[in-house]
Amino acid sequence: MNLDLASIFSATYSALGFACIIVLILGEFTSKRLVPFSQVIRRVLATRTVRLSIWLAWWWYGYHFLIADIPH
Amino acid sequence: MAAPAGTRASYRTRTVLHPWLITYSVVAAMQVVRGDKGDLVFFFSCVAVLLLSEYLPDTMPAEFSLPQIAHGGLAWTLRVLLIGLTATLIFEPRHSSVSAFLMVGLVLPVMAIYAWSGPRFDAHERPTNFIRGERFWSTWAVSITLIELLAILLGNLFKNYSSFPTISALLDPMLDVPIIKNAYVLIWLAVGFGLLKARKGE
Repeated sequence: MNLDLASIFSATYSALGFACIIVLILGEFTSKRLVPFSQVIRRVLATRTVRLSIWLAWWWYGYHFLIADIPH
Repeated sequence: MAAPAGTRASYRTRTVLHPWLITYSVVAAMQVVRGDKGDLVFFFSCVAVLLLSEYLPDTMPAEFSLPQIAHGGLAWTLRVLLIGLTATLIFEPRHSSVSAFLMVGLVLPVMAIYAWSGPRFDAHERPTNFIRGERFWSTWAVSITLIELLAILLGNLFKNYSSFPTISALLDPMLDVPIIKNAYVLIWLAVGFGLLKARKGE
């Protein structure tokens, strides 16, 4: 099988996306070992620098994909 | 007072530099390579805001230290803005100037003031399973950032952007399809509402 570099990058992004979904689900069922994502977010938002970082990142994901021209 | 076994207090950042400050600095540096002036200004401004948040003295003037306003007028303003934004982003095409005005002129400043308000540090202790979760999500975010950085650096080095695609380059053509764009708008705004809701338990 001939894998080009673009496919390797795409597969890596997909694997990280998949890992995110798996851990989100695991967090709901194994809360003794790993707290649910919602609890992690609730606690980290109590620190201002983290709160600002997460909200700014959220805003940028909206602006970047919906408003800005994305250079290729 | 020492934290009980299996827990860790998190009054202050334990590293020399806050991990988010390092992440935003790396992403800001990436914009120099990318050459996107808008993102360059945005991310360096973010670094400046995070530096202020982290290093302003505890006894700072009252105007820099807002009480939490999660249930006050500003939080409701943000909710109303998000609803107005949903309608605008759904009915307006991508890259519309009306959406840009709403996002830059209203949502960004209101959101920034809202995020600044409230306590500076988490005064609670963190149990082990929380630290484990926090480590996983930090590693995950850093991994995505590093792979994106690698794609940008290699793409610029070899002048071959299609062989080293970023997530933006892969998603951009898909978002030109209206139904995918609208799904993205709804997911993005649901995350925003989720963040608003999460602050209630602060």
